[in-house]
Amino acid sequence: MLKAGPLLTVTQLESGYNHLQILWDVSLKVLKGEMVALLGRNGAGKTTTLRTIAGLLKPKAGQIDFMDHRIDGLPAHEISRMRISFVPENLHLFPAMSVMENLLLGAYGIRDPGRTKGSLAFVCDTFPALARRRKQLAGSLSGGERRMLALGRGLMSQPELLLVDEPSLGLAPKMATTVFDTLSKLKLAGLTILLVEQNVHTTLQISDRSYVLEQGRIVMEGRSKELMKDDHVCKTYLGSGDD
Amino acid sequence: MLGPTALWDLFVTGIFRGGMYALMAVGLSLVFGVMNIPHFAHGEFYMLGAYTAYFAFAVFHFPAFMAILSAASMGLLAGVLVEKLVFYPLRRRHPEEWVLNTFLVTVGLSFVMQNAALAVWGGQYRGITQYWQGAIQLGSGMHISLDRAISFIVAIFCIAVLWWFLDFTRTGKAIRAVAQDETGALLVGIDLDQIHTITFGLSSLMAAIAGASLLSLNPAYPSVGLAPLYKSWYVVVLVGLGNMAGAIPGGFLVGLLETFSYYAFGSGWQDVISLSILILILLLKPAGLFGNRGISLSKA
Repeated sequence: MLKAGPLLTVTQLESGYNHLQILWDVSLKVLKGEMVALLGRNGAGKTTTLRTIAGLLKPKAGQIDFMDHRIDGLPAHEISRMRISFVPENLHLFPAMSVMENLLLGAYGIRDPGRTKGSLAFVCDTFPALARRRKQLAGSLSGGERRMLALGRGLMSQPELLLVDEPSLGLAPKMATTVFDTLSKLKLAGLTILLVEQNVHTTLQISDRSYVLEQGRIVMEGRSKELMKDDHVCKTYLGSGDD
Repeated sequence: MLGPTALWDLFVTGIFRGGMYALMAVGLSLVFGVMNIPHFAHGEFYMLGAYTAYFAFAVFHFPAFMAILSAASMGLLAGVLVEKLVFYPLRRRHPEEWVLNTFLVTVGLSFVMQNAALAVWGGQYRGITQYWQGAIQLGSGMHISLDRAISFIVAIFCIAVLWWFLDFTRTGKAIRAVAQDETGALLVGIDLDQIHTITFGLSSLMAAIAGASLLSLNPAYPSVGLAPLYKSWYVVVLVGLGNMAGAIPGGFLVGLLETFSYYAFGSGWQDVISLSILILILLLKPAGLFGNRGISLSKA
């Protein structure tokens, strides 16, 4: 009945920790089916943006809308049940539980066993390594496996929007490639993704659009392909190291 | 010097004593592990259970099991109320320095509950001679009262049910998830407020059951909960704070330790011996016997 608007709209968001304000006037939009990236240096406010959208931080001002609902200020567990999954940089797995228990807790908000089974089949299909290790304790997995488990757990709730923070951090290059391939596949399968990544080069290649954050403000936005050719982006984020 | 029968008798006595310690300690451990509260009012729920069972059994003439069951319901109700009225508002308004603040709050709660009991029921002992008549005879010729035996079975049963609950139910898994990673639990959609209320209610329920089923051994009076509180802290510190599984063998270990030191050195020495052993263990293993994590002083 309504014209399809953006899935997620962040308007003039201000946020931070206690008395330390980190985000100033951040506005962004994510359309359904898009992969959008947030770029910026350490401390630019990328993680703070994701944490605020996920409800782990209360915004000081501004508005966040998701699928016609205003979600700013809601507690994190309610936002999770509205089908926004946040896969944080430091994962927050349940270390003394098995891989399977971690995955099933990912579907905590789903009370329909049939749907949970469907999610589980999808996740095991996406991450065969997790299926092989389903009885192992999450705390005993390798770094790469843990990251996959966190992604898998995030997908168990069948989210509309996936917020991913630094999915390739600390991974061997081959493992990082696997993670990026998986994200691309998920996007093709119709998932909407808001991605924060330190690997700017790859991120610009796989994402549709990007926002550049500097000192808590959005300084640029555009199609990722165009940003790749932009002087400022090239100099600041692609200048050294990548390629 | 100790024949096999005497040894066996001591062993059985220690195990029977340990069952209740384990039941109390598991609740304490649950509250610390899930809510990060060093709970010093745990004994007052034991006291509440003892009083409830006394009135149900001796005044209203309920059957014994019904008396214990009403104590359990009272414990659950009181636990839920205390969580909603005390810890929930505190968490909302001032989550900083949580461990220290909740420690002070539970100490205060303990005073308030004890004095409320004193005001309402007076200081006299309210006990019963027994729930069930009779005794069972062990192979060696030692008799153990049926009350003692049944209270042991009740303790084991409660612990088993709790374990089943934590392992196999959706809410139980959520409780363990909160204990392992609070942020992770929030991110998968677990309502922390709800889990905290359930956890505190369950822990108080178990303390009340302990107080009720030991009523014939320890009559109800306002400060009856102090001794069980100290014992359960002893167990929890011995095995390592927040280690729920460790609280069970820990309870039995303390029961055995006390029984043997009582036998070897007399009743005046039993606390001295067991506390000296605790100090020794903490000197060698500061995180406790089975402890692997330190105490985290912040909630985040």
